[in-house]
Amino acid sequence: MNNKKDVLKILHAGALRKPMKECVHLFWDDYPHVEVALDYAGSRACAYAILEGQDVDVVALADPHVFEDMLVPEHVDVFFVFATDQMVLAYDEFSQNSSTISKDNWMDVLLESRASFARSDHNLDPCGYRTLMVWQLAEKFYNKPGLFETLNQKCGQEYIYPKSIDLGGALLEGKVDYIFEYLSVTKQLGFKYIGFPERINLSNPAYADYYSQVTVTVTGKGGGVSLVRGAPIEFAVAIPKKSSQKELANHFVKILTSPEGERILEDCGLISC
Amino acid sequence: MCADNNEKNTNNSVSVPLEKLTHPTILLLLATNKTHGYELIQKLNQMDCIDGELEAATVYRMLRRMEQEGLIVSRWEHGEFGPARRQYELTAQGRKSLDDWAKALKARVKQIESFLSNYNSIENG
Repeated sequence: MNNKKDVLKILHAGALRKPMKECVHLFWDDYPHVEVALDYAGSRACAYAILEGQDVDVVALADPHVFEDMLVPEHVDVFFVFATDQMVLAYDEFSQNSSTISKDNWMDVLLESRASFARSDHNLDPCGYRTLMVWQLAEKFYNKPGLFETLNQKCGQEYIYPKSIDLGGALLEGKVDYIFEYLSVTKQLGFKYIGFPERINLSNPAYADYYSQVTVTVTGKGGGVSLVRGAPIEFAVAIPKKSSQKELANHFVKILTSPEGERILEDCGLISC
Repeated sequence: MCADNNEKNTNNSVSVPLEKLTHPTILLLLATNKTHGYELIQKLNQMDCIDGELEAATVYRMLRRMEQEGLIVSRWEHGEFGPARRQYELTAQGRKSLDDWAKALKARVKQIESFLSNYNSIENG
């Protein structure tokens, strides 16, 4: 008799923490005796973990580009786009100037007041390079030459966090006043937010060409650099080639992309696609 | 008497709400080609019959609702490169709905032409 317990190992982007947990509960309805090991990090950090040999059965990341850039074809054959999101500026009632900030003056509030703001690390997390893209797009959209550079200089190393979900913790603890965050994470944590125009917020495929005007250089662990081009925000999931639990992994991905999974994503502020 | 706030703004100019054309336009585009949501949103925003900018979230939610209603069906498709995406296709029920929309819109066009004809006769004395 084999007493070894089946374990499904899921590695996911931090921004997907809540929906992944809820999908695991649905999975346990069908496989109550399977242990699920749920681990998370910034999406590029997740990809590095797989490259370094971490054993993973399901990997869900915040950018299909990370699959293309780092995991295909060595570790992943096919990856499925399952959700979209948008970038917002999140804050709470204790943030400096929170009573006066608006969609028209957010740049002035961030730059001219004592308010601090944070982003995630563009080398580890798509939310980080997407923030840098939002700043570049805002510079074009509002015709404010130098805006990107000024925001980038004010957001020093002490305001750069490893992954998007860490930004929420920093805002909750009052370490920062404002964070550049996904709308889904913002809603999950109950923050207030300023929404950006669609030409800036990276949400709409209709502006794919417009978004692609901006780029961010990311540096790999080994020091190599690659260029990430602006694109609509998408989340994707895959079953790595080396997964030892393909049947269980398939079942989990089916749940994530089922009508019930779509409802969970929607409840978590993501748009199923 | 209640003012019709949907059709009149404070400048006394009139806007005719056409946002409901998004639904039949999705059916129309899918009658031409099966496609995924990303591409569909790009095409919708290039259509003259769509008024203003359509939010991606609105279209994705509309696609899900249309699939639940049996008007369209989706399956995962992937090419040689790039990610797999949900590709949508019109069903027989969706085709019938498109035909019904076309009939209703033709009837509406006749009503609008009749209105404009009467208006022109006043204008021309």
